[in-house]
Amino acid sequence: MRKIFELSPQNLEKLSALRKQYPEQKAIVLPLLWMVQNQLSYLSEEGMQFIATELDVPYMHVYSVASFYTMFIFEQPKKHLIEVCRTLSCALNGADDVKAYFDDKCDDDVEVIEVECLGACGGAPMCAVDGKYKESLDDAKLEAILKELKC
Amino acid sequence: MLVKIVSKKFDIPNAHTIDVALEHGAYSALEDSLVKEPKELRDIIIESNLRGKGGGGAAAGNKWNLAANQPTESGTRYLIVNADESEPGTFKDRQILAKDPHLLIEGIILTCHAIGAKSSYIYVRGEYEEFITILEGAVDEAYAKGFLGNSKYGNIDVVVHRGAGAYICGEKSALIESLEGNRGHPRLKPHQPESEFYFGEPALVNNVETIASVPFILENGADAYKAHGTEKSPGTLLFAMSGHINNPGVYECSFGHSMLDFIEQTGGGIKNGKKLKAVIPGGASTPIIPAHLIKDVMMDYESLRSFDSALGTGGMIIMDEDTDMVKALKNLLHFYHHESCGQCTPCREGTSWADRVMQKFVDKRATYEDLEILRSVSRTMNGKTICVFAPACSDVIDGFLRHFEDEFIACIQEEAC
Repeated sequence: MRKIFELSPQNLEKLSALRKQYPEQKAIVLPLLWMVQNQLSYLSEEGMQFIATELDVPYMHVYSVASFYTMFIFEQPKKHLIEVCRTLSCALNGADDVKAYFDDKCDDDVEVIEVECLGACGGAPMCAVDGKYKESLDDAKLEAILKELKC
Repeated sequence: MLVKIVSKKFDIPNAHTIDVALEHGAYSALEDSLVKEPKELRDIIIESNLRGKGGGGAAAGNKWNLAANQPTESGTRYLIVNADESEPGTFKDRQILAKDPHLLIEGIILTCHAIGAKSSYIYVRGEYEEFITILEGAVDEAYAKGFLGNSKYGNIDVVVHRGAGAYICGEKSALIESLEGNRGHPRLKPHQPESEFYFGEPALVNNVETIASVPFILENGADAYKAHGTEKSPGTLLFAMSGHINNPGVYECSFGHSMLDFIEQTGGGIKNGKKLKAVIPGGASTPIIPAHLIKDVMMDYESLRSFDSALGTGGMIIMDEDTDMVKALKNLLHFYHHESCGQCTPCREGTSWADRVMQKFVDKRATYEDLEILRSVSRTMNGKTICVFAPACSDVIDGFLRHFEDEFIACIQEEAC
């Protein structure tokens, strides 16, 4: 039996507000994808099917849009995500060492990935821990992150 | 050298909240400007010679006129604010979003009035989650205090729209595609200048900093703005410094100053007392300039152009004498490879090919033929695609090869022996 996806009551309220904010319903594909992903922590087939039905667009359109953007994921993620910025300003300031440090110290609960420029070049090297920016990383800050994640 | 027009409230604690912002003069440009005719406001912007601050540097006033004069049956027009800041080396718009969002909202109300728009969308890159929260809070406050929505200030609505991690959505037509609920593929450009279109209605797309400059200009007049900067590049820009620099950060500075002075005085010089090797002057897509030329570079659009580079976003990446240029180019090509939207073949294939060739250089497996392949890929990418992503990538490659070819050849010869 296929599971049916349902929005939380709070998100349902947000959806009806969203519908009024755009000239055409199709425009809320992205906000809805975020809503589903925030609710499930990833995008399930049922979740995307729900969006297609709600907005009266083909399922394939929703999937095609979702797969274009790197921040949408289609599988249950690990408990924590560390995104290490690898682009030039961070690379010049030791992004490789930051990545190696996390690779070495983090346990299986933490996904460590390299990402392209996060727009925090003045705070290089930097990373985002579960979406929160951590800038001007030094030994003390790296240790504090591990402590926070209980690695 | 340093001025405070857009960054006026950056150092004030909690200026992102409306009470503090109001204490320091937020929304003070509205009363006097909103009674003026829209055309009068557009004329002031044209007179001020305000240039778009997202990288292209086109005259903002002309764009405003295109959007305002485009015939539309329904009478609907849109203002879309581009906050999809993703250019490597650039982190200025987030300062406005996080530290003075009310300045942006004030600019939006004024711009909407000037072009006849009632709805505005702020498209913010998805990774800026924390700044989106601040911005949304500020928008809610502006509604509550009667600056937005049903109000005497023109019934303007503002919606914050979150992107989801695609560099190309900073390209204005890709941004609109994304805002319409599609993949962020840039649109074909018309031969004649014309407005952008959101769901078929005229739309103006401007960068955050451009809109944030509007309240000062309309409140103080075009001449007050032109008192800063040079004749062709008037006003100020939020210049940023990152890389091997002692004081990285964002500094508002008028156009036309010496880049070297800026790096040494404001930036505090190169880290660890080393020598300067090169600067990427305005975000990754602007061609690199070697140290021996930097002393003559002035920070304005025209000067940078004369050095075969561009001012771009003003986000400088500074590199010291020990920087490996082969690795630096490889780093950037990895970025372009990852971020190509895949719509045009020369770009999709070219960025990935160039990236693979550069990997050979890094691994010391490259030959002279690879250097030729790199040049040829760069030529093939340039001018054959829908948007300027591929030409920008091509300029980056050409810039590195123009000034640092010897390092690439050294890499090849190392392999040979």
